[in-house]
Amino acid sequence: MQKQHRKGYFMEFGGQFVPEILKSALDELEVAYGKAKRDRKFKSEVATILREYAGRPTLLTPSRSLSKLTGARVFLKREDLLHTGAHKINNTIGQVLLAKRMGKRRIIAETGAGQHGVATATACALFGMPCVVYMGKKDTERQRLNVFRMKLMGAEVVPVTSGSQTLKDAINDAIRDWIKNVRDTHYVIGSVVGPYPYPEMVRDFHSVIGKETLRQTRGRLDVAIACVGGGSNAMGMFHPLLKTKAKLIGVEAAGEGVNTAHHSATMTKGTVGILHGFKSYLLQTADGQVQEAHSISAGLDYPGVGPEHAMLKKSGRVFYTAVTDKVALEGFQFLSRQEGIIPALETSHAIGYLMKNPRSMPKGGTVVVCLSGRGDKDVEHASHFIKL
Amino acid sequence: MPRTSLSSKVNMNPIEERFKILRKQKQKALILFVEGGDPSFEVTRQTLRYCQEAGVDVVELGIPFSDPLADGPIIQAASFRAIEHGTTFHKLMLMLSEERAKGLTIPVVVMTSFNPINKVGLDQSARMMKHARVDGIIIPDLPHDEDPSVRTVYEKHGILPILMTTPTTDPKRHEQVLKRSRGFVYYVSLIGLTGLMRRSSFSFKNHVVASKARSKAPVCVGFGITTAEDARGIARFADGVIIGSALVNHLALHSPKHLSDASKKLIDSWVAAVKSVR
Repeated sequence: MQKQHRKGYFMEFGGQFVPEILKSALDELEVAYGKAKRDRKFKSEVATILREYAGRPTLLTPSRSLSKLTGARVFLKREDLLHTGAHKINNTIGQVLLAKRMGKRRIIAETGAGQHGVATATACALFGMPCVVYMGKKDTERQRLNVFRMKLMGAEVVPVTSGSQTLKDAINDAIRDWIKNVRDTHYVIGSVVGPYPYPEMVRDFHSVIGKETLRQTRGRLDVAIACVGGGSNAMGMFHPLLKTKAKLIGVEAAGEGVNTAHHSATMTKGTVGILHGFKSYLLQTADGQVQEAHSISAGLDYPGVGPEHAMLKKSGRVFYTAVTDKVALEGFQFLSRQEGIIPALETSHAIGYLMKNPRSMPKGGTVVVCLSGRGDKDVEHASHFIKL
Repeated sequence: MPRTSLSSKVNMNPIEERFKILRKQKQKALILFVEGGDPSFEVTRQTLRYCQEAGVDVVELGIPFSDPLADGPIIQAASFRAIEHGTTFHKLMLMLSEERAKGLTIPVVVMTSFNPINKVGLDQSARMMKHARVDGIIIPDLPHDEDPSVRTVYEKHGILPILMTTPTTDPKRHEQVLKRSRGFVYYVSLIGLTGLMRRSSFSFKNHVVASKARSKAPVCVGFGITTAEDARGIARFADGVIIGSALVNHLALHSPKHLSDASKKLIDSWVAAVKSVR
């Protein structure tokens, strides 16, 4: 591959497919982030806040029920125990601190279900930055409590009425806001997506997940499993493990099934395309119109996927698969009932995969599931599907 | 050989030819943008024909995309309507071929997000465009240095890659755009999206004038140009004026069955304004 080593690319995936007006802002961000990540003071500032405020390191909890089911030693990496209830805050603390360093005076973000919006609003409240969150109008109705949470912390929530009125359109409108206010605004993107340097930067902020896991398992890790929408928790878990021999499994949302029109299995069913400033696998029509993604979990219904995941799929280093809404709901109930841990519906896909494939786990080996978020936000939604 | 060799005067690209004539006549260019298929194929066809009749210099034909980043609400909405009507790149190229066969000679530039043509395939899309006698291409979400091979593909088929620059583009990049853009340079006059605007002053004037002096291709100004008055004001210092949202908005408010007299008058008013400048 000619482009394999090109800056900003993961094989042929990634890049900066943005209007010219954003190029200077991306250059500025690249330089600022490049400096920050080599700056000990910045790194220790991020680490301190994550430790004293967000609750890192997170626990590695042995799961008796999943161990029994698989014959392996299964552990849960408890990102659900972080402040705001999901891994998202690893990234927002880092990015908002970086924005402050860059002298930016305003933060914008997009959100689907509201988790990234809440995590951004949280970081902005902590650092005293004005915050505007774009959220699809449909999502503001479905996730009213998260809208309230964001507002409570001082953020402005803008309902997005363009397009399909969901996450993908919220990202479009956040990018458009950035185009208009590019001089004083930093866009805190919520996953390992978007134009370079975002996929790399967001991954780096989340890689604390994989690094801690390596330490906690003393490097003896055979399998790591994580759910994949845009792919931030999975990239954070996988990236530090790429050099090891661990088998890595990314679980996408198959919605009602990958052979229906209602799924989010971008890497299983997508084709190469360009959305939101980067090239990756994409759910799209034959004419290159982006299709809506579907999943029971709002955090996974994104029609694209981070470019580094696209590379890891193509290279075969990570095994990507997809499980349906139904299987995710089984995982959701299983962990709740067996362990007293209510996982997010996103995370439930990873649990569901493990339940459905217990024999593919190495006997006596060490398996870690990234428990990316807690399920409190999902209980109302899930109650429509589960009879108790 | 049709229109591949650009150095030869015989086979000069129609956009370059048009600007050459304008230069001789000391006139400025009026470039109009229409969203293909909005509000209907019929209106798009009639608008193309009327632009030619009214003396518009170049038409930009927009290929609808579900997620256009640089567009404001007007063109976004037009794009969605067009997609809902079943508009595709393929159908628009067929339509343009038909219009060409019926005598449409006005230079046409395709304006599209990168994904629709990338999905069709660059070479395939270039061949379809060549068949429809498309003269240039603008890809707003493809910075000129992101994938230079894309430009080569279209240039090979005689389709000029038109590049965009902005008031805040880094000087080095700006120079590269001036050097590499073919046909004309698309100068984005505001830090923002396509849309309607009323101007009190043209803060970008000096930048445009300086750019003209260093650019091989003419420098045309677009984004946010709405009124005939503003078009005239900008034509005084730029080589051409590009109007998009104001036309798209007007077309959408009138009959989808045919190009309304009101829309024709609006086009006439812009032509008169730009052509009044010498």
